[in-house]
Amino acid sequence: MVDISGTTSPVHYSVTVRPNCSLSPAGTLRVFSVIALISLSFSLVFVFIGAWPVLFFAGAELLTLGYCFYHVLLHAGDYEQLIIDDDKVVVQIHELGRDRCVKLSGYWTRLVLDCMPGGYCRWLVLRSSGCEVEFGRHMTSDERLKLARQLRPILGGFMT
Amino acid sequence: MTAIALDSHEHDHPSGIRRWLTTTNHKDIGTLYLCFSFAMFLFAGALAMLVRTELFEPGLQFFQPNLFNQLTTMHGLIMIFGAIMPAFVGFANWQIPLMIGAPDMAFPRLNNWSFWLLPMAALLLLGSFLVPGGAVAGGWTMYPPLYIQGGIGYDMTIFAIHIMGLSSIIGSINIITTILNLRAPGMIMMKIPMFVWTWLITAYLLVAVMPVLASAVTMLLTDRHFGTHFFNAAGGGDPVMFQHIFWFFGHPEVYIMILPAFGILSTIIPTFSRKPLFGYHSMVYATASIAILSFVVWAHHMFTVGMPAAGQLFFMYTTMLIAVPTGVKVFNWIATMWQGAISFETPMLFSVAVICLFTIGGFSGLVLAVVPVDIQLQDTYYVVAHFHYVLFSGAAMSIMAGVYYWLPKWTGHMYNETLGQWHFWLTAIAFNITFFPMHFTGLAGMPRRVPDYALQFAEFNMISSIGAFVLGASQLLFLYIVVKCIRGGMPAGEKPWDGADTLEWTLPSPVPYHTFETAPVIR
Repeated sequence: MVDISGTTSPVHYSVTVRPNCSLSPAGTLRVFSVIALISLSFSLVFVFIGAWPVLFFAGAELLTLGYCFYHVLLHAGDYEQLIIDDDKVVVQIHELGRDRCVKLSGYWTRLVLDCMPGGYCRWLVLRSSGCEVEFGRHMTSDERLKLARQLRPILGGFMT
Repeated sequence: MTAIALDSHEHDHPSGIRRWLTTTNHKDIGTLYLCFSFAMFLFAGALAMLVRTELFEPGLQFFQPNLFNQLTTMHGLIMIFGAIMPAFVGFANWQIPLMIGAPDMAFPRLNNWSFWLLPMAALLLLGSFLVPGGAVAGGWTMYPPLYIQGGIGYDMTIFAIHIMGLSSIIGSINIITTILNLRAPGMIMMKIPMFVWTWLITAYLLVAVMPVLASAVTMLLTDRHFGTHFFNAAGGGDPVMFQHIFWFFGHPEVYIMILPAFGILSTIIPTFSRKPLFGYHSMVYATASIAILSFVVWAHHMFTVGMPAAGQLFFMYTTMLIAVPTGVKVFNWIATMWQGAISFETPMLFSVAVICLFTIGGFSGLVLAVVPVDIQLQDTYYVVAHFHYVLFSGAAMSIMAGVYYWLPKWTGHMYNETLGQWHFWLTAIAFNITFFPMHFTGLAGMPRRVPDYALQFAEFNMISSIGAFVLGASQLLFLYIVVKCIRGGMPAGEKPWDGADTLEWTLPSPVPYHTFETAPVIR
């Protein structure tokens, strides 16, 4: 599930793909803080009356919940961007806070869409001079197909 | 230039037993939860039949008191942890991703794990019948000193509760992250369906109280085997502390079992009234209020253990206060039906019955909230009647309503409406024959958890037992209807209920294996 935004100006073609994440990092922090505050408050009362194992279990559970939120948050800022200009194709991948940029020749880049017999399009790859980069890992089959159809007149390419 | 050939099976999924063992698909896991909970429902129901057989007439007929108490205890434990809770998690798995436009749960592998922990726990729990000393007989509330003194069956139950608690925690964390992070673009919090809202709040309750239950049973275990004295008065411990800890979990647990039921009602009633839900915002706030208040009422279960008058007053008034948000909900459901184009298909029949019968259970709860009355009625059949009106007619009948409502979407077939209505009327009438007389036996002073009773209670008990046998048998009809619907029937269209307006009804029936890979946009 992705949010896709694209433009044809000022460059020839640009598309950005982001995984859908409906809760912002600040929202996540607020939600987790409220849960942690409530849970720890209860636990401390139980510690006070002598039932200290409650704190242990509550702590373990909050760590698990926190890790789950953290895991989701880590990927919340991920995106892939494809920019096609006159003579170059730039694929920018932002994952886990790190950027990776691959520049390909605009004249030699070809698009490869790998589809299974049932019609499921599993890969969309850009290739040029022995260099290959996958685009649209967050996209669904239909979205890859749609994007490939849009790019084909610009880049040329084929389906397998 | 050629493309690389890959052996990939993204759109395939394993078949046979491997499909069910390894599945990470939310629909498969939802189905597993529902099947498991139905099996547990039938088993725990069979235990209830045995209990009612013994109580058919005064005197000891079939079971010795210890075995009788094993039957009542296991009936309660299995119904709560094995039937009702997993059934609602099954609904959550099936419906939440479909209702918020998400392709799956946020952590599909965790989801698989959280289900497969349950059969392991069930094996431990049911296996305890076979060990020396038998299963637990100290009541589902697990009070010490009985739970400190029992045999190995008690250890097995403690481990089973631990595992089921772990499963619930994993499930609730998954539900929270799914609802908060995977909503379709445009689906702001105040647009999510009420069923999703109620589950979000339920998941919060689970996260808050499950560590308390886990630590309570751990302390029982360490008291039993590792020389601690948390609850052992002989060693300076306090058995009453267990009651406080247990009910701090136990009362929110009641709402964990009823809030998703409210969500199901809030989905079905607008559909068959062909009107939007009346007072959506107030429903959300009422649900949240019930959840918050559920943390400050626990000691109303313990009025007879002794507490200061100020404490009794506090817990009495807070308990009564819960009637306010609950009343808001009942008012909103009735207002939704008001001047609607109502039709009474089976899901709606069950929903209307839940409103009526749950309200009776709510009122008897108010009666029990009054301290002097509660002191008289503590541990009588009045309490048994009260919580069955809340949990059977509130939770279990809502689950039945939900199954009838979504079965066409899940299976692609319509269930047999005539048989569904038979099931409804048999269930509703037999339920009242079973449990309504218990109000009278309770008011007359018949204690719960005893296999024998005074002659004065004979008639009412016989009526209750006859009702229970009909109630039990009518659930076999439910099983038949569901299996028949899964195997075939009239094809259900995309939207068999014309008043339904949540996202799942935009999908074909049966729902494809993968859904909402492209997020729908909500306006």
